[in-house]
Amino acid sequence: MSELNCKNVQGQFALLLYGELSFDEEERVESHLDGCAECRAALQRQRALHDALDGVAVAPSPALLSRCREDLTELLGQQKPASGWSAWWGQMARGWNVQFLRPMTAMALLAVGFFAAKVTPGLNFAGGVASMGLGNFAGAQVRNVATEPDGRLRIVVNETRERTISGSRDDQQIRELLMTAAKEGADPGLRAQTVTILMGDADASDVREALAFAMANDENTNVRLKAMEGLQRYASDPVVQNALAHVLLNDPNSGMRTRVIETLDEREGQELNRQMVGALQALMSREDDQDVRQRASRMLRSIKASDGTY
Amino acid sequence: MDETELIRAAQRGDSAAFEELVRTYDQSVLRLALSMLRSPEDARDVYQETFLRVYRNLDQFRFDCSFHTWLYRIATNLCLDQLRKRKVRKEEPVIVTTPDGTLDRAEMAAETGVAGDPHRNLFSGQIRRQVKEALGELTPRERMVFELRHYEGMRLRKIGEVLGTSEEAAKNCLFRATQKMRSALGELV
Repeated sequence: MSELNCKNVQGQFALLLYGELSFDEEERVESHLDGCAECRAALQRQRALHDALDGVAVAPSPALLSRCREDLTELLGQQKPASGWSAWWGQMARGWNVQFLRPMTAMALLAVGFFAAKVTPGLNFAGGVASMGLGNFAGAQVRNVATEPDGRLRIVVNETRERTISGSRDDQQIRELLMTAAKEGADPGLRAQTVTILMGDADASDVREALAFAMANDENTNVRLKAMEGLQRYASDPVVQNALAHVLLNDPNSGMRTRVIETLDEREGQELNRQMVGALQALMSREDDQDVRQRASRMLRSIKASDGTY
Repeated sequence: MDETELIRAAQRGDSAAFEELVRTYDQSVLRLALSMLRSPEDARDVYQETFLRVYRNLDQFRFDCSFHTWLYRIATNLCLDQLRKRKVRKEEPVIVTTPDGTLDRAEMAAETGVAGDPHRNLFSGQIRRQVKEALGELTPRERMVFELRHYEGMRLRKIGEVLGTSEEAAKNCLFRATQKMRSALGELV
């Protein structure tokens, strides 16, 4: 097996991090790394670059996915209008409309009816926009125009309807809207606001799940931090611990990672599950922030788990 | 019902089976298209065309490869075509804010008042901008291989199958892409 020089080794780092080296290649690289501080430092830099690349990942919104599905339904309907496919595509579209448009509609409702919920007891549905008549297409978007066999035009219009729902925080429907807003609201301010309200109901497991989702996935650090605050007293819940483990290993903000360890510190004698212990140990081999590493190391020692290199 | 059964059922015209196939893969197809093209409108076009081709040609699918590979082959070809057209036109669309609320995490609202580490966030924003620029400098094939490996988590062997090339060629492509990214970003991280 030939020795590798530093240049060759550093050229392999990207493939090493992607786990795409053969056993022998990896062995040679690691053997070199054992004796070369310069290459170890270079590997750290490559890992930092690798992590930075995660920051430009793109996620399509539920609304975009929903529109794509609707468009596809239309398109396939035009392809084979008389076939059996058309009927099931229609069913499919209706199913999707219900499933995927519900959160978006809920968002619109919530945005409008949010404050009313605080002052109006009991449920009260108020129809928003009146049924659309001819000439009332403000805000609508023409998505497709097709000529029917009889010469008439069929125009597909996207429109946004708004409704206001008011009710108390205890109402299940209000709570579901809040949870939807916390997970999928387009505006970080709205998500932070709903998370703050939900914090008061974190005794309920579905609310904890929504907060855990926000803590682990929200793009905005304020929202993630707020959700973590709401879950602080529930660090023994397996769902919460799994989400905390995810944050510990994936959150780009060192303040968030530090806060996870502080939260675990405050858990009042509760046991950590195996995944959390594994996450702390994994963190030791990848964490760049010295303070976070030290905290994780102390935590591992406090529970008599090894903090060695993994 | 496993995937093979689903495909066979869909080939016989079973609507629920086809629906399940679409539902299984359409989010990742859309994500790939959006990520590659950075334009919701172009991503929608690729999405439509991909599943339209699946719809038209499913009866010709002979299980020579996995359905996932076949589907991705269609989607990646459409994305590559689109990217090549752009190269010719010297255009590079970026994701724009639309009523869809499409997310480009690099352009997400600034995380103001972040507890803990404002310098890190500022620094991260700078990195994200440069990462996007560096991605834009890759060739369409390098970009695709990088995208599939880094963001889709696809193994190089599978990437080779999807792109109709060898694992070795995909590996070389990934190597070049990461070298370029490192050259472009090395000073920042």
